[in-house]
Formats: sequence, C-alpha cells, structure tokens
Amino acid sequence: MLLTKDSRLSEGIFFDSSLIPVIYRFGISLGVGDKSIEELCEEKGLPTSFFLAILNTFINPTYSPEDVENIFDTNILLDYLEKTNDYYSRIQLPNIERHFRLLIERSDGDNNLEHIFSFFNELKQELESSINSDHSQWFPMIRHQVEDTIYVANSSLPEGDYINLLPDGLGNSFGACNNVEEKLNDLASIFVVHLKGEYDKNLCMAVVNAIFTLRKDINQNNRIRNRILLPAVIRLFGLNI
Amino acid sequence: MLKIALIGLSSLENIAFREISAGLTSMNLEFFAGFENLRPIADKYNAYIVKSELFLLNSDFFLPRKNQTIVIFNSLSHNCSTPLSIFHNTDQAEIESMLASLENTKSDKEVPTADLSVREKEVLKEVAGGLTNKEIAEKLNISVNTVITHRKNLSGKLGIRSASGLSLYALMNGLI
Repeated sequence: MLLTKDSRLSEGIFFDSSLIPVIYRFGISLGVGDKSIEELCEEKGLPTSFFLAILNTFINPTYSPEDVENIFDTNILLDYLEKTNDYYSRIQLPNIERHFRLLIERSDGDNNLEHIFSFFNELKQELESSINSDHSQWFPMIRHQVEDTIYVANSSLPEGDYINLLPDGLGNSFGACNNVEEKLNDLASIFVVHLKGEYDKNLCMAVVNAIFTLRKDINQNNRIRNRILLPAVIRLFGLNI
Repeated sequence: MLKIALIGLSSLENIAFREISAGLTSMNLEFFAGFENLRPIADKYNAYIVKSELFLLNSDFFLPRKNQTIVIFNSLSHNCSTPLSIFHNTDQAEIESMLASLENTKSDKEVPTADLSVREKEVLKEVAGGLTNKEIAEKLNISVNTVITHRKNLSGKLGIRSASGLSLYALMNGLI
C-alpha cells in the first residue's frame, strides 16, 4: 500500500497498526476521523511530503523516498529522530523490561530466561548508549552545521578541526544502530526457535510481541537513518566517505 | 528413542547394562571400545556411559554434557554427585534409577537443536570465548575464510548472527 496526500490516515493505520507510535511522534493522536493526510498535516502544521515519506517508509519495506534533498528538512528530520529515540528509551525498552521481569518472576520451570534477560540488558545498554550519543553529540553537531555555525566538539581542538573526527565517529554511530538491529533479530530468534523449559505463556507472548514491535520500528528507523540522514550529513559536511 | 553410547566398558559391564536396560522402554544402547573414533559422531547420542579414565581424558566433551553422562568408577572411595556416577557394587535398582533419570533428562529438557557439525561447534565455542575470526583460525589451524564460512553456516542454522547471541546459544545448550 502506498499512501498519498489524499489517502485517509485511518486507512494507513488499518493497514498497519505499527503506524500508531509513528503518528504519536508527530503529535497526532488516535481518533483521526476521516481526514486526509494533507488535511491533517495542514491542521498540525506538518510538511505533508515529509510526513508521507516517513509513513510510506514504515509500511513498505522496499519504499525509498524520491527527491530526498527537497523533502527532508534536516531540522525536522532530527526532531523526528529525537522523538523516536525518546519513544525507545521511555516507552519500548521499559515495556519489554517490565514484562520480561514479570515473566521470570512467574515462570518456575527449568528455563534459560535469566540468560536471555542478560542478553536483552546488553542490547538495551547498547541502544541507550547510541541514543545518548545521538542526543549529546551527533544531533547538536548536525544542527550547528545546518545553521552554518562552527561547532566545537572539544574545546582543545583548533576551530574547524572537529570535522576530521567525523568519519570514524559517524561510522561508529550508524554501525551501533545496525548492531542493535542485529541483536534484536537474534533475540527474536532465541525466543521463537531456541526457548526451552516451562514459562508463563501469556507473559512470554507479551515480551515477544514487544520485541517484535521494537525490532520493526528500529528496522524501519535505521532505513531512514541510513538512506536519508546519512546522505544528508555527508552533503552537509562535504565529506568524502 | 534414547540413544546411549557406552564407552570403554568391559564385556561383562556391557552385558550387565544391556540386561538392566532391557526393562526400560525407548532405550537403544551402543558399545564403543574407545572414544576417539566416536568423537566425530558423538553428538548423535542423547546420553553417555563412560569409564572414568576416558571421561577425564575427554572432559572437554563430557563436562558440557554432564546431565547426559554417567561415569563408571572402579574405586569405592570416589564420591561424585555431578556428573552422575555409579560404582561397581551399586545395586541394580540404583542403576535402573539412574538410567531412568537419563530418560527423563531427555524428555524434559532436551531442545531440538540445529544439526551442527563438530567443527561448527568448535568455532561456536571459540566465538563464545570472545575470539576474533583470525584468532579462531590460528587456534583451530584453519584459514580465516573457513572460519567465516563456519560462522555463516552457524548463523544460517541458528538464526543468530551476533557474537553475543551465539554465546548465549552456546550457554543455553551446554556448549560452554
């Protein structure tokens, strides 16, 4: 399904309910009525092309937005990515953790849930560290560059030299997101294929559902980072990567 | 069917085990004089009854499978709770009970795991130990490309790609 400016937002949500947390990030709540996407964007003061590109990237795994340079205002993109990060750290990770702890508490059988929980914690710390790096380092640096000001990441560096730090750090930052995605896939496999012993089945289903939701969100979000943010940053800084 | 390998036991001991196990359903015993020839295919068996000398010589294989192993000691002075152990003067009822516990171990805890080759398991253990592909290649005396191929096969069979995910799998399945 490809949404257009004339599509009703409700159609998109009926097609794929994973759009619900995405519209929340744009300040849109459920109860969207039968308004078209364009009407809703006008109401909320959102750029329609950008909103549509994000929605279509989410519901179509092969969708690649065209005319990226004109559609994506970097500041709006960064706002969106910050809200996405907040959603991971404030809602999704604590939700998985809460259900996982309950699952361990209420499962008496001989199982490997404690070991799997350690693996989840490792993944969680990696994602939180990547989010911290986004918010404290990369996003401010990109915003400053957009505003054509000099950003001094480390005051001991001569003005402008910070740019020499970008390639490796940038690579690590994007690499960290991809590592988290790989580990989420592993975590899903471990639950689906390799789980053993006795456990509370309802709570297990809640944990697995939450993992699948986060996995899909991060997978789609990484596509936005890799296909849209990364090229924008490379252009902004005139990098030759 | 529980497949049990009896390793390094005397003829009399083998006969005794065959008679005792006859009363237990779903058990298939196979007898081996040594372990070297058995090692490449040892994972085909669900449980092992092994002479203490061979257990010690091949502890890298048996320790991760301690819940599936009965060790036969010749001395009455040993006292070992895990792995399961029996002594020559242990009475028949106790041996039957131990065999039955192996049967239960299989039905309760065994998970159908991917059919990993001996080499893949060796690579998996080293990955779990934190070694890089280059270090694994040097340790196992194989090329880095071969290590990469084994890792791809492991990921394909297990659906797990990250080193820490593979370590978790190894831990969950008693490989480390």
